Amino acid sequence: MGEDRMRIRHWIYAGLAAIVVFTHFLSVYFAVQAFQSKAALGSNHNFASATYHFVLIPEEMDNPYWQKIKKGAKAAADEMDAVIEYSGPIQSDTKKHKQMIEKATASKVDGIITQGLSKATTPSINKAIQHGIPVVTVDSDAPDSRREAYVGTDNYAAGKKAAQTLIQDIDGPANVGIITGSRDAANQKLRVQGFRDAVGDEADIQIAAVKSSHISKVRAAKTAYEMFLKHPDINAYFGTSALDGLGISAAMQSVGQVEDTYILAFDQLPQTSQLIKKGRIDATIAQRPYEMGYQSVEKMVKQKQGEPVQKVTSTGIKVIHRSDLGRGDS
Amino acid sequence: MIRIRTKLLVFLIVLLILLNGVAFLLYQSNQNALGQYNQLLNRFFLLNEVSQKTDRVYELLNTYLSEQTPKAYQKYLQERKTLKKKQAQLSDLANENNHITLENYRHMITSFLEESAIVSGAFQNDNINRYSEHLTETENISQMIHNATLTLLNGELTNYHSLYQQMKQKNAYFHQMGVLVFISTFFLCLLFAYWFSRGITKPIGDLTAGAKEISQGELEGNDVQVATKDEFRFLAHTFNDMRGNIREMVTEVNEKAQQEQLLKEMELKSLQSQINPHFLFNILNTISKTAYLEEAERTSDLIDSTAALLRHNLSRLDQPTTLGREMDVIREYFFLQQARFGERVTFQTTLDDACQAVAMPSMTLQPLVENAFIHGIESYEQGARIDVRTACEAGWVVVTVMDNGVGMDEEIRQDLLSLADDGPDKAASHGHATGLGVKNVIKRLQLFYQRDDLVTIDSELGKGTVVTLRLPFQQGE
Repeated sequence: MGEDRMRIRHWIYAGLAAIVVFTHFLSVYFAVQAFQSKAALGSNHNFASATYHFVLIPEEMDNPYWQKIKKGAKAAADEMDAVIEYSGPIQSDTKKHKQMIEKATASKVDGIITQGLSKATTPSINKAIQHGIPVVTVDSDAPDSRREAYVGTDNYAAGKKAAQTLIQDIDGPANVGIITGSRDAANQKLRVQGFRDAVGDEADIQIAAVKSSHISKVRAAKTAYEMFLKHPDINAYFGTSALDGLGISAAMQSVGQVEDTYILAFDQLPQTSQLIKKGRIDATIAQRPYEMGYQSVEKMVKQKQGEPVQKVTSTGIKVIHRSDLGRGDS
Repeated sequence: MIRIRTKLLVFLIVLLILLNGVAFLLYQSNQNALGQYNQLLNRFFLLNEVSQKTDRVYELLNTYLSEQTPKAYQKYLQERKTLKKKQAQLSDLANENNHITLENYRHMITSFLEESAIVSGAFQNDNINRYSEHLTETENISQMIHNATLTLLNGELTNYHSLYQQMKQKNAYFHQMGVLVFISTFFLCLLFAYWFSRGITKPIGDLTAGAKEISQGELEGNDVQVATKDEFRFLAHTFNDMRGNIREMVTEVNEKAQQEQLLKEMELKSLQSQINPHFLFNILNTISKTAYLEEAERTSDLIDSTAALLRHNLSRLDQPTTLGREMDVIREYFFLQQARFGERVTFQTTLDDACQAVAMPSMTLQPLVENAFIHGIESYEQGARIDVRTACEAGWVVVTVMDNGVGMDEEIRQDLLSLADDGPDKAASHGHATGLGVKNVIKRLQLFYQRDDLVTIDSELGKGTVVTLRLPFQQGE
């Protein structure tokens, strides 16, 4: 009896002590956790401040082509102690683009790298120059503005090259439909112009229609479809902006004409490469966006350091057929 | 000794420190969180203020342009100053994510201030074309500032969404810690209360049980054991000592009673033979004197000895006597026995004068001598011998009673020495003078001196017996 009671008492002691120890350890554990979590306002000023602060204003923020330009610009900026602020319209929008340039001007940045786009941007570019902010245009030029330099494709030459490629590949009479990103954008216009001038001498090459896609794959596909219905005799298409080729390919796929139609695209997006591999796009005129980004920053830094800068720099183009994509060569 | 008060104090202090520590921690974390919320809000407020001040500057500029009063101009200048001050504070908001936007923002404000200055300057110079153009520009920039404010606020919110999550997590941890500490403390208190109350009630219970035993007359119970080292241990010790003392005292009382019982027995026996002592003594005296007058001197001496012996035997037995007087009685006894047995026995006494005055219980030696006589040599026709010797040595007096009689076997010897009370003395069955046995003597000696090692008996059948008393005495008595 007494022994039983003693055993019960010992159990009570042991149980209570175990609970005390257990809860105590847990509480210490939580205390340690609480102290380890560093929930503090990041008011640190330990960020690197670069010598130059440049703004790169793209045509479209998420456009893969512009991402490549950004990559090149950042690589150059890292080498030259500069920061690149990449900020532009979400979707291609001339008005917004102008605002961005003006905003950068008001922000007194060290330099603006932007697309020439169209005549509309010229006053904004001039205003920035007036405020002492140098401007370098990439991808497409604004030749009438007071910009310091242009780095990019010679779009007129690219148009010509496209025409030559088409003539060479088809090797016969062709009725060509052109779908262009924008009828206002200088680069697009130059490409179309170059194409037109190059085929002007050829008797058996006709341009059936030129339509705008407003830089949208869906609109490009729609436009190509309409063009197909209106001119069923078109046997070659030329898309002058990056998404046009994809749109045309999709439209031809849907009407079952993708094999019989020659499709020439512009720019080399990953999708473009895939479609070329599948034979749904025949060739593309590839630009060198990375080079553009890199060289534009280079020019900007040179300008800032007071060195003379070459006004126009062509980064070159490359024609890519299926045969060029054999071994991961871009 | 850890006092009960010390225990309580220590426990309370530990509890206090624990709970206060937790409370302090929780308070501190709350203060921290509050501080961070404040900081966060201040950032929002600053951005908002900048945006509003920009509007206000633009508004006042327009007011000045339409009212054209110096007062309006002053107001406008005043507001410009506040905006500049706010602009200066903006650098505090910089962090890794927003420093570029923030730099742009600050420059925009500068541009805004510049443009508005151009407007007011052109206005004062009446250059209408210029000022209207720049007024539009000013408005545009103010619009940009608005947009940038929103961008920055957005950034802040995104940035602090994660911070808020972390803070929430941290607070949750603190909360869990607090709850667990309270649970832990609760059980700690429970444990302490249980342990502490047992530490009090158990010794009290044991002491109560012990006291109950004592009150029921049981003094032989186990000692009360107390495991703790507090006041109860002292109490239990005292209680155990007290019980021990009571036990000893009771034993002492019991022994005294037993001693008295033995004396009573002796007195009773002597009273049985006491018909009328005074009458007997007077008769004996008369006979002695008559014998003397009739010139029977030996008869007179014998009667005197008998009277002396009787007187001694009938005297108060509970009063201690001295060794010298005991020896006198022995001599009277020997004289009478010598007269009776003549040449058959030889008696000899040797008394060390130094220990004549040693105190001892009365009727100690005579029963031993009687025993030697009756059981040892009575059957001898001749050559019987009894020898009584006393010797003193360093605090001890040694009395030896020797006879050369028949001796006794081991069984009888052990029986005499054993203290077991087995009824009336076997030796008492024989008729002899006092009727007191050896056993009675040994027992009384033990009670008188409170020792067991006083008497030794050596005996051999056919050769005789030696009884040795070794009694302690205090010198100078």
